[in-house]
Amino acid sequence: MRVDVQEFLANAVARCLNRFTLALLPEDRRAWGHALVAEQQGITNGLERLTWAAGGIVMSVHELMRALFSDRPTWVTGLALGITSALVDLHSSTRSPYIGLLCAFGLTLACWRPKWAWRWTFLLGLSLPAVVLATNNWGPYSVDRFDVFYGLVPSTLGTLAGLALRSVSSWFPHKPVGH
Amino acid sequence: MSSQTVAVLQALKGNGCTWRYGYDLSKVTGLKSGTLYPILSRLHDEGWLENKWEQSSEQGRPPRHLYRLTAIGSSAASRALKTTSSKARAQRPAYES
Repeated sequence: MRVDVQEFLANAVARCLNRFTLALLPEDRRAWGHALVAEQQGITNGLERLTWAAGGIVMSVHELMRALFSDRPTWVTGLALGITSALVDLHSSTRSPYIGLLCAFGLTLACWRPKWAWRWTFLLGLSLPAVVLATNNWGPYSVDRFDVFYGLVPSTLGTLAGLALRSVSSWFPHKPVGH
Repeated sequence: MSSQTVAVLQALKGNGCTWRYGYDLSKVTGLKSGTLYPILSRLHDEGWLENKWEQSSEQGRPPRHLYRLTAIGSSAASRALKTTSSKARAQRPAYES
């Protein structure tokens, strides 16, 4: 009876993990998730089946990270833009240039690479805290240190504007160039 | 090339490039599914591995994925395994030889 309960619980958790595996995997990798799930039919031990299913989550996270960080040129560009805007802010007497730059960079990056655009929001917005921590130069933020995170607001606005612009542009048919 | 990838290649090459199940490969290599499947998908991307779905004879069971090395994969695997074994031999201390 106890073994049955254990089997039942192991199967229930394994089914739950399978669902997460398939949901987390990028679409072009989902067939591999189905392959991993299908193999569980051949595993008779409940605990072993559970371990196998947990491996699916590991695979999904692995694939997700790979997809997330595969676009190296955009990451490098985003990092360069974030550091530039942070340096401008640290050497400026007002916040307007920083806000303007983050909005513009967020818009550009979201327009250029709209997939998982929140990546660019965090990259741009967290560049200032990273630069401040790396150089240990708090500049105008020495009074209120949590203020270094305010860049997340303009970078979010810029990203949202970029995504909106991208979806608006998709409403209009693109004419082929040179005709 | 990682030692896990080498183990997978060895397992795939072992049985004369016949079709293998994922669970079967896991048992032979000792790799967990979370390590094995990313390796299999990378090998497939490289064109080293081919796969197919096999319909189960039992009703209600989902089809299973089978894997085997392609011709390119087989020759590349031989090269990789040869390199790995010669590296291992070179790293072995002199008193062992």
